[in-house]
Amino acid sequence: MSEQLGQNADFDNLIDGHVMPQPAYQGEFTEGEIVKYYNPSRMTLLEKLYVPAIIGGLMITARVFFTNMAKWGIWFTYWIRGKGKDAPKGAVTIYYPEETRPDYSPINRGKHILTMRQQKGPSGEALPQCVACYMCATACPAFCIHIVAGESPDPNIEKYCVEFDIEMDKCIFCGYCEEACPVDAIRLTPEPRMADYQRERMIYDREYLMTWNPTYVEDDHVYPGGHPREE
Amino acid sequence: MSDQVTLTIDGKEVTVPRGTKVIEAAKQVGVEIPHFCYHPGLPVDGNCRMCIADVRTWNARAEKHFPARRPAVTCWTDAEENMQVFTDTDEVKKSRATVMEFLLINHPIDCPICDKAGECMLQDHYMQHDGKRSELREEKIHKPRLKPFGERIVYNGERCILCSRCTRFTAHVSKTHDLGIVNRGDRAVVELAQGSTFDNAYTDNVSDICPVGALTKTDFRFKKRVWFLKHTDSVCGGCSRNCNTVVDHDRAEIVRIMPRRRDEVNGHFMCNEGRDIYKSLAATVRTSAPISRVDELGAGPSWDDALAWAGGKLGEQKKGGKLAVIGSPWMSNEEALVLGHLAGKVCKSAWMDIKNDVIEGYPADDLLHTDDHNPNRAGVIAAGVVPGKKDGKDLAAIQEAIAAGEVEVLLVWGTGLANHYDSVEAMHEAVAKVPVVIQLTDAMDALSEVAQLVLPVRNWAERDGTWTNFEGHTSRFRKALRPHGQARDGFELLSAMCTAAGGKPPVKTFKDARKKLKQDPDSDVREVADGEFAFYKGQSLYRHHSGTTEV
Ligand code: SF4
Ligand code: SF4
Ligand code: SF4
Ligand code: SF4
Repeated sequence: MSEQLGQNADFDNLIDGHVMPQPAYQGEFTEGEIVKYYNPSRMTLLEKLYVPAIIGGLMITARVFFTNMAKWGIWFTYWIRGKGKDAPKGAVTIYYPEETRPDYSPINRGKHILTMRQQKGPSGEALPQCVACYMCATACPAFCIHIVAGESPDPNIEKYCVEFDIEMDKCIFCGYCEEACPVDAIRLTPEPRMADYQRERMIYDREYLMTWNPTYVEDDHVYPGGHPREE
Repeated sequence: MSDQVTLTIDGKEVTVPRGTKVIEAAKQVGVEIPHFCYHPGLPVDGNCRMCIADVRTWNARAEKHFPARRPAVTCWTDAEENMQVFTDTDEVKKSRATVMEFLLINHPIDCPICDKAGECMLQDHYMQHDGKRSELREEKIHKPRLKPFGERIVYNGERCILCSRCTRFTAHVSKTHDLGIVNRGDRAVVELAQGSTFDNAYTDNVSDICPVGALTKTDFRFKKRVWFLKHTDSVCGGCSRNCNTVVDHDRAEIVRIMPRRRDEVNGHFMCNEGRDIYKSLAATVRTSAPISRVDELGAGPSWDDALAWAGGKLGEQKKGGKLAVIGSPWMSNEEALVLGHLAGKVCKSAWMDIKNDVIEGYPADDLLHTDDHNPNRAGVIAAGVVPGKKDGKDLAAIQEAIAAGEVEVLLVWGTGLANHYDSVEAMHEAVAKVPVVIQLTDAMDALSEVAQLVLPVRNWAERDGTWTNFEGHTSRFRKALRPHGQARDGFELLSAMCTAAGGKPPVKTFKDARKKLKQDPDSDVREVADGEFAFYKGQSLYRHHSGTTEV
């Protein structure tokens, strides 16, 4: 560590508390400068020629196509013997988003929800179960949970989250937040569909996290929100 | 009877002055005795019984150690000659676990919503000394929660373990007698004295010394979990006491300021004004790049151009005569050393003085707060920016010379020149007579509106340096935040100005400056505060960022 002139190399590498590798750009950040944070391109000549890479790509596509066709061919030999139901199949193309897979596991870790308290707030608003303890934000390896705590309208609850944002595009769906929560306030539903066209909309705020479908039960499984299984 | 006694603590021999408590003697040999109510800055009370140990006194006549009938509280037992202390026998461990169990009987354990969680002695000691599940099957006793004690403190009776640290603080340190414990047994709570508003200048200390989260500060309440904070050793600039502090910050934001133990400067405590100083820091208007009002430079000059121009103007004053230098009691000693050299050796300033940057604040009292609201007047003078150094030409003489149009170059550090004039307009009018005004400042003020060149420097939270308090004790503050915009370190900037003016800086590095100033090596000592236990070191989420591993 340098003793000089307020240089504290250690601190400058700490971003959100993590020691970060030094970026390529090492100057002071000043206004109006464009900071280069991407890696320089390291393509070989063969890649730069473009056509060979295109041909390589088409070969992969062709390989996958013919392997798949072969699998279906084997399946066909079973099928004509009337054993098609149990035989291994080739890949199936699902026309997402018009079609979705029906076989997501009920314990699939997908979109988050915030659970709510049964009793309403003083003006009838829904109160989140969350007590803004930041355990989830602490446990989150992606550092994508951002909470602002405040004095709850209900003095018996004392503390609750005024803001609760999850950056869904950073989330790695590890489920640690769910594990860490002491009051079962945050849960991951099986819902996998979160794609969007705008980055801003990938930040789910408290209100959105609280607009989940009520729990429903199917095949003895409890689904907190999400969509019913398609036949 | 000699003044020193030698005793054995867990097999380690230690010699301490007579009258030292065993718990303090144990600290000297690295034995940590857990405790709640004992605090080195407060009178001993001995009510929590957590610091019990097996203490065996030496009987000189029988020439043997007498085994103790029961464990003794080490916070109230004086060290004696030949005493034997055992702090980790099974009996002691069991007693501690029992004490913990009793403390937790009615404790709400609402750590998720408790601001103390993460630095709570009850949590810490539970993890190390108890670790059992609660045996209680009845409903816990409920006590008042969310009870305001004055404007700045909120009391939660359920979390209170009745250690009486807070009441002892108000009785013996602040001497305001605001708090007391009323009722008995499991109904006992801390109450505000009748008629007390608990609004003295030292109220927030009760929250720091409270071993649990019973007293929370309204200022910090629910703001941040403590394990997200980075801690940087710093010094309070609120007055010339220079209380040693820890700046707790998260990213670019200071969240709170806590006192740091330094016995000869501030002891264990600090005043509320010093804790709030980060708010005024956040409220200052700053410039991120040099500003100029001269045609050669244009409005937004680069640092190189600005320095070359300033160096040229200062270089013209080498023969002396027309340069006035006004330092500031907010400069660090190292900066004052370079400014004194720039003004006296590189150039020949005709006038030199220090202004009064801040004139408002808490009134002085006989505990900590002094009547000078600036931190480093003594240090700046000692480092070479001496008022009226040249023939007694001090600030009054500077003002006269400015009014008479004699000053050609005015070099000002910091804000608050207008404090020495009747009004801002009067200051503007006077300064308009000076052709070149160069201001080096961490905040914009009335002078920055008219100065020919404004050079942004880093403020105390963004740079390293030392301040010397009115009693001559030097304390070191360290860089906590990233510098604002292009603001430069004052020491480095003044050194560059020396070079630009055609001279040489007095020292090359910050370290040399510290050597040249013959600074007390103790100035950046970090004494172990109460409640800091080695067992928990390194268990925070992030590293303790205080720079204590440096020289
Ligand atoms: S699932 Fe994992 S990454 Fe996503 S918010 Fe929860 S803790 Fe963070
Ligand atoms: S862990 Fe649970 S209660 Fe705590 S902040 Fe996260 S969601 Fe809220
Ligand atoms: S005082 Fe300590 S143990 Fe009690 S709730 Fe607060 S953090 Fe938890
Ligand atoms: S409020 Fe805190 S300091 Fe005061 S008696 Fe209770 S636990 Fe001790």
